[in-house]
Amino acid sequence: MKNKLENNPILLVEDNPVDVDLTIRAFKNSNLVNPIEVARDGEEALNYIKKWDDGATIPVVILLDLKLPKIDGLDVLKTMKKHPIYKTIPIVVLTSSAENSDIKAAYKLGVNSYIVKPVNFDSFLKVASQIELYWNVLNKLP
Amino acid sequence: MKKAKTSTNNLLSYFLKLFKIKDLSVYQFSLILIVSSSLLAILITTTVQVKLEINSVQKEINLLKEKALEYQKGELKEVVSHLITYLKFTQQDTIENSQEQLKDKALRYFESIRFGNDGYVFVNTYNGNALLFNGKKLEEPKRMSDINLPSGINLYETEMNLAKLPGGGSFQYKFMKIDDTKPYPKMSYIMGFDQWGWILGAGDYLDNLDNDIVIMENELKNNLSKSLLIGIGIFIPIVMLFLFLSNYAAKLIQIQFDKFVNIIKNPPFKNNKQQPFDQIYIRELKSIGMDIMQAEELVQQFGNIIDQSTNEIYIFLKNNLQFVHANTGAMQNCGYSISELQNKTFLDILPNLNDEQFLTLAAPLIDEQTKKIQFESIYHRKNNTTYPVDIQLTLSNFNENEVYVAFIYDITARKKIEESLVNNKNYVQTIFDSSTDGIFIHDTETGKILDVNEQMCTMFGYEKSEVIGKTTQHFSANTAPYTEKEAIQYLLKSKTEGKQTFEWHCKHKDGHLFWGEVSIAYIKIDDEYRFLATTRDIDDRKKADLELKNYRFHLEFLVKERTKALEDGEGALLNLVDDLNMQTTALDNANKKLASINAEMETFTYSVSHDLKAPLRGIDGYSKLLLDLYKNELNEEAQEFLKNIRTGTLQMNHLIEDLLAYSRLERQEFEIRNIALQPLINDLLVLLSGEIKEFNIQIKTSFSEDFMLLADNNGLKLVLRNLLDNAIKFSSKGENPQIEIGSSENSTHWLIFVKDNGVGFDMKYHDRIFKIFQRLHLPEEYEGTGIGLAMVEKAMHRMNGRIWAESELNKGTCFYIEFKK
Repeated sequence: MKNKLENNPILLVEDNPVDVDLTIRAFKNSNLVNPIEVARDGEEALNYIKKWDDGATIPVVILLDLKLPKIDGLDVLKTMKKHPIYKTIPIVVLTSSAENSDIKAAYKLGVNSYIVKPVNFDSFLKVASQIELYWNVLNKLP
Repeated sequence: MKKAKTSTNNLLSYFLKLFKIKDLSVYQFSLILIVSSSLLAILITTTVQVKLEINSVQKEINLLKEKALEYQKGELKEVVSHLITYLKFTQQDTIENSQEQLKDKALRYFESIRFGNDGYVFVNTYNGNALLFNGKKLEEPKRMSDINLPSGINLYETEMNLAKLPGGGSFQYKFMKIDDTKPYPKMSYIMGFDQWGWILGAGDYLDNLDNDIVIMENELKNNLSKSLLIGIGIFIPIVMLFLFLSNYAAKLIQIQFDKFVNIIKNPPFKNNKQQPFDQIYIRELKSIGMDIMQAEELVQQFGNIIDQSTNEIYIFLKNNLQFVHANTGAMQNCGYSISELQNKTFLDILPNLNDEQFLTLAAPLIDEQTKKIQFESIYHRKNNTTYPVDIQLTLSNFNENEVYVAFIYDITARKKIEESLVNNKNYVQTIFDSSTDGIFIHDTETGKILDVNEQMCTMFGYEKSEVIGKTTQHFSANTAPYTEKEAIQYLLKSKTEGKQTFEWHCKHKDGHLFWGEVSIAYIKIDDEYRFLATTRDIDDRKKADLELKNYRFHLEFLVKERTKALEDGEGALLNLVDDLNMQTTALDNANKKLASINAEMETFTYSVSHDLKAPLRGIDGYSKLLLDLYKNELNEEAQEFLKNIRTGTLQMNHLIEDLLAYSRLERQEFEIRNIALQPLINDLLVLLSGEIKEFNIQIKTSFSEDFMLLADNNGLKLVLRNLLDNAIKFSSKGENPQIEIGSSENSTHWLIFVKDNGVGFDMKYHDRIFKIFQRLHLPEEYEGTGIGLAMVEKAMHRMNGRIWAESELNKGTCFYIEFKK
């Protein structure tokens, strides 16, 4: 099945280069064709709003780490979800933290999904394929 | 006999006729009743009065009689005394005359003496000869024994006895008069004159005295008659007045009765033209001179009673049973209009009855044998519904026709009760046998047990057959006040004072005593009076009462002690308050410090969870990529190394996860609430189903489905998860691995256990296994971080519970967790 959004990018907000590399590899492994754009801190992530305003392609999903330099991941989430236009972009928190307080805060701010990054790379590959399957194939966006 | 019965019937019918409401009969009846009862009263009073009067007269006469006799006796004594005096003087005159001459002289003198009516003197000798007899001196002495006395007394003996008495004595007898041979009542006085051996007597006849008394009696009786006549003379006018008044009263009664009868006889409509009740009655009552206001009031009351009565009243003709009237209650019930009803007969509403049957029923009314008959039947409404009724029928007059008046009562409820009474006999037996109270039925005469229910047998441990015929003493403690004697008192009391309820010390067949609450009722069962004793086992309650009493006593003692201590400690308390204030300040500071430590801890945990895990992910990720992408370039040993790196990384990850969980336990809020065990265990078993299947572990659960306890949900889940993990881990390598999860509770605690048949451990390490990082096995034997049980112990501690284990090497381990209630 040909997805009409398959050319739209996935935005990955992640400071750790190892995680960025591994995430990209994991998605490649699950035959994801969408380009992956990376923002390395919260500020960079929020800069995308201006880029989208200027005509850049809006992503199918944003994968957001919580512990970020400059602007915290929860603040990025908050701003995005308050934006009149871009609040419809699905945001998936992808983080090492399994703290209840983080999970609750994220959902309170309107996150669409919260995934704890597995240390085991085998498990991470599964998660990546599931993200791809759900957000890029099954889920219909406006 | 037969005749007597007929005459009774005649009298009865006469009285019935008298009672029958016809013109003036009430007046007659009233008059007769008043007059006859008054006359009867007068008659009785007079008779009693006369009787009393006569009695007093008789008494007076008797008294007079006695007095007269006394007088006579005195007279006679005087005469005899005179004779004695005479003889005493004469006897001394022996100079001129011999004794014989003196005796002769005296007898001649005595012969001449006459006194009273027919009184004379007689002389006899001590040796039984009569010298002066019947008023004549005998020429030759005569033997007294030859004298026949009509009264049959022995004259000589009587006279001798009296003569010997000092002063003599009198006696009464019958004797002929001098000139008459007929015997008359006579009294004589006798004295003895010893010198000559003479019996001297003076006698007089009493018939004159009797005559006097008769005269006196007559005089008295005349006086009585006179006063009676005067009495009657006064009485007659009073009676006349009384009769006049009675007549007036009877007439008044008649008038009032007529009014009532008229109201009954003249129903609210005539000639099929309905007239309002009120108008008729007001007219009638006005006609008898009643105040219009009063009349209206009376009519209202009366109309309410008759017409608005919910009982149904029907009036129908005697000859063809056709209806002429019915009251509102009847009209509402039957469903017919007045005109419809007037085209029907009484038997139309009682279809179960035919003409013949009705005539048989009404025969006693028609024959005037009775005023009212009563029978039951089925009522049939216009709408074809039926119901059972009770009918009271009387005969009366209505517009100069003879009519029946029927009062009809709905007896559906009564019938239902009667029916259910019959049907419920078995039902009652079932109740009797299924009662949770023990029931005894006693004979009222002997107090012996006639029947008991099954519960009684269970309660007292007997077979029914062992109980029948016994008395209560077999089932009582038999120490006062719980002996046969008191039991009988209660039984008898229930008869006179109603139901008796009391506590009783009962005895079981095996001899143990228990407390029961007994209710005794005196009731009728199958037409026989019985005592019904119901016994409830209140042993627990009674014991609790006693316990409570002791406890209360103890508590009172404690309160007293404490009060005293409190008084003593009041001063000390003031000091304590100061100390406490100081300590509160210290505590506040400590709390602030703790809060800052907690915040620090949180930051630390956060960093650990995030930063420490990121490199691990890199190590594992690239190892995996190496193994996948460069598999061909790597020899087997290199591949093995990479695998070991991955294993170590994952173990490190485990350790971090467990450490985080452990630190979380410290910071996390615990929320104690009601938790159902079953769903929680089910969730865990689903979660662990992979391993359970893999190792072919048999899971056994032995707790009740509704087992609930108070704990923190996440805490309890963590505890049980770890215990199950452990159980799986340590039993997985054995044969037929088995895990049992169970629970129990008592009044103070809930207990859950997880038991396996795995490797177990030496109990000397018991305390060590709950300490963090402490392990009893090599990592290659059983993997683990050494944090699991430490976490469990901490979680239990946070939930105010406790954990311990029982284990035997190579046999298995059982972990117990206990929660306070």
